[in-house]
Amino acid sequence: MYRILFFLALIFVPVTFGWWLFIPLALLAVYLIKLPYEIVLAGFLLDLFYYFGQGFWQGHTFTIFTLILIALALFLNQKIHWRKVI
Amino acid sequence: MIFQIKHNNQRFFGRSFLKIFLVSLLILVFVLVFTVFDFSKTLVANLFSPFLKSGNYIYQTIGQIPSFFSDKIELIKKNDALLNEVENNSINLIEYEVVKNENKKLREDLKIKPIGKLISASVISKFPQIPMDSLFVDRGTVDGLIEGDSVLAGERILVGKIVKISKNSSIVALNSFVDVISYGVVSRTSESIEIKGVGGGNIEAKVPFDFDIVVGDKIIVGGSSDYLVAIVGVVEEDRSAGFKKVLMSLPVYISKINTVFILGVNTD
Repeated sequence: MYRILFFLALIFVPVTFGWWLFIPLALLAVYLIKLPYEIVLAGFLLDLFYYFGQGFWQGHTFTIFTLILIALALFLNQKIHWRKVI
Repeated sequence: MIFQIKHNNQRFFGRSFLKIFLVSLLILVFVLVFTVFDFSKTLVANLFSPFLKSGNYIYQTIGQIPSFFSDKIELIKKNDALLNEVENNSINLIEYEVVKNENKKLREDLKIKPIGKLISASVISKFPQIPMDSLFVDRGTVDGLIEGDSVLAGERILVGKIVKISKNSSIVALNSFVDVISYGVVSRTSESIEIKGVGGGNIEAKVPFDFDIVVGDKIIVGGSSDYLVAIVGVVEEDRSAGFKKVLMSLPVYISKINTVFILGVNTD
């Protein structure tokens, strides 16, 4: 349940208060949730909405950022003990 | 001493791998569906619109807080100044209407293409809600707009272009958006100049050392009508490189704008 609420906050808090809030919230999600795949979906949805430029990297900024985060999380999952907070 | 080797039962293609694979597959399907179908942009924009509006309202309310603690004498002075400004503006408006009608008649006599129909649009959100140098407005494909339509802040001030559009909303990239290149002329000398957005409401140009440009010069873009795009703020001379670096700003203060006008191609 908390995981779903965090996912919704991850989408709607940046939209309401500022796009940059997605970055700390995504990092927080990785810290609090064990393997938070849903951040990729949130990043993708926000990429559909925001405009950062014409190129591929600018067009998929948040998707790429979250994919890197999730890849790191997958790697760290094998190395460290991951405490699932929410 | 006897060592017992304990067998590790962990397999690479175990349950966790299957779980990761299924989740990745689901994400991939979701991304593909949303990328392929065009309705996705409209759906996302419609979903986010109320949140953008409430965020904009919150920022506007926060911006008004200092005005509640203003000094009364200062407010009276400010009120007088504003009343004078309103008086001057009404006189200017009458003069403007006269010049506008004259211009229209001259255009008809000279058979110049008429100025396209302007569509007014409300600014739903701006920085810091969305990235700097962009605006989110409440007009879209339903109103006959397309990507690339020019966006004006007044009848003669061009501020940017539509870059992302959905059914009933669109995103405008201002001329100061990073790497947006525009071509215009210096109004005083009619010399051509290439200007490039550098972000934060700033525009830059690099011109030869002998290029005639001074602080306060206006950059306009031509066509059937002239539009003001930038005002020169600083001119830095680099004698060793033989160039002048011209720093410009947008002609209007974007954070104060709540309505823009879109010069649509298909709106006549």
